[in-house]
Amino acid sequence: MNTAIQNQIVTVIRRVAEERHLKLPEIADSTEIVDELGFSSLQVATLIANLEEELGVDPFQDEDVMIADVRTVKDLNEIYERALAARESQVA
Amino acid sequence: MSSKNKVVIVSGGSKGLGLGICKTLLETGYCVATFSRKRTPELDELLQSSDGKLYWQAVDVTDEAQLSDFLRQVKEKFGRVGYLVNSAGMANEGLLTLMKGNEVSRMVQVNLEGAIALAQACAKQMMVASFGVIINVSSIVGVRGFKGLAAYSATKAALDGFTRSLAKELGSAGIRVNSLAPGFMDTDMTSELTDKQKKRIIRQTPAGRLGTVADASSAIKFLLSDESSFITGQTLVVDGGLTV
Repeated sequence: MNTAIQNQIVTVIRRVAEERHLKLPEIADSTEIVDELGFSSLQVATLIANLEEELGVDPFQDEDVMIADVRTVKDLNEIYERALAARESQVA
Repeated sequence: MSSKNKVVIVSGGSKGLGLGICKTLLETGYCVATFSRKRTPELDELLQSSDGKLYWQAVDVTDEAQLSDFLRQVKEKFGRVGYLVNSAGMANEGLLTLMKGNEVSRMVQVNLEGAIALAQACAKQMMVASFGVIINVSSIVGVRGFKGLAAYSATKAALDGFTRSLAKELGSAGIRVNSLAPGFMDTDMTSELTDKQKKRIIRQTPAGRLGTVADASSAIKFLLSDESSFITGQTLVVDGGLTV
């Protein structure tokens, strides 16, 4: 697990939640974004838009990556790690 | 440029209504980014007098890679996009049964798919700021229908549907979405109308004239502004009363 990416994702989750006045519990890998953090579908979309600005990628533009497959914070981390690694390998 | 810029993207700004919208919004203080496939002398003139507040790039709206590159350049130059005017459009006139399939496809790609792709990309930036305004330029022919413009009117009616649904999706994210439906304006796009058709349209228009680019641009300026902050999901018809 890439800690730097993980930290960035958690920071963005907190920022989006604060802006929408959501009270968040402790965030762990297993935390469920919709069921535990209380994100609506629009808030998930806002989170992804914020992550695109922060990390420079939108993994969900890839037709094989489905938002429905993301349940936990760990799922989100893995998807962004893969997308960032793919981008780096393209650049190299 | 600072993040306090009011940054607007206007698609199809090299001539006609798109160019007029760029002029009006520059005068209003926006940083304007526009694109078209080719530049024109009128656009060059505006670029020269814009004091760096107007950016143009050669882009075919149906080319995903070109569009992404344009959005990246705009963000670097002006900052995050807060406003979008989907104005790029093309109209092939003729009876549908005599129209070539690729002409119809191209119209759908430019008028509808291009507008949706731009709205999708810009809405993401707007969501980050929890603010944004999108205007889709449709047409009264999408509202009422017009002989010889069946496929064109289909793309414009579709844009109005897109406006209503997107307004519902994005309203709580602080983003407004409206359509502007101009009537027949004196631009290149209506140059294929015969004098007889133009006279008939003028006769049927309560305001007694064809529309102008300025008529539509001032309505765009209003819909982008905070003066219209409680208006979303609507189609504003600017046609001198023709469709009343």
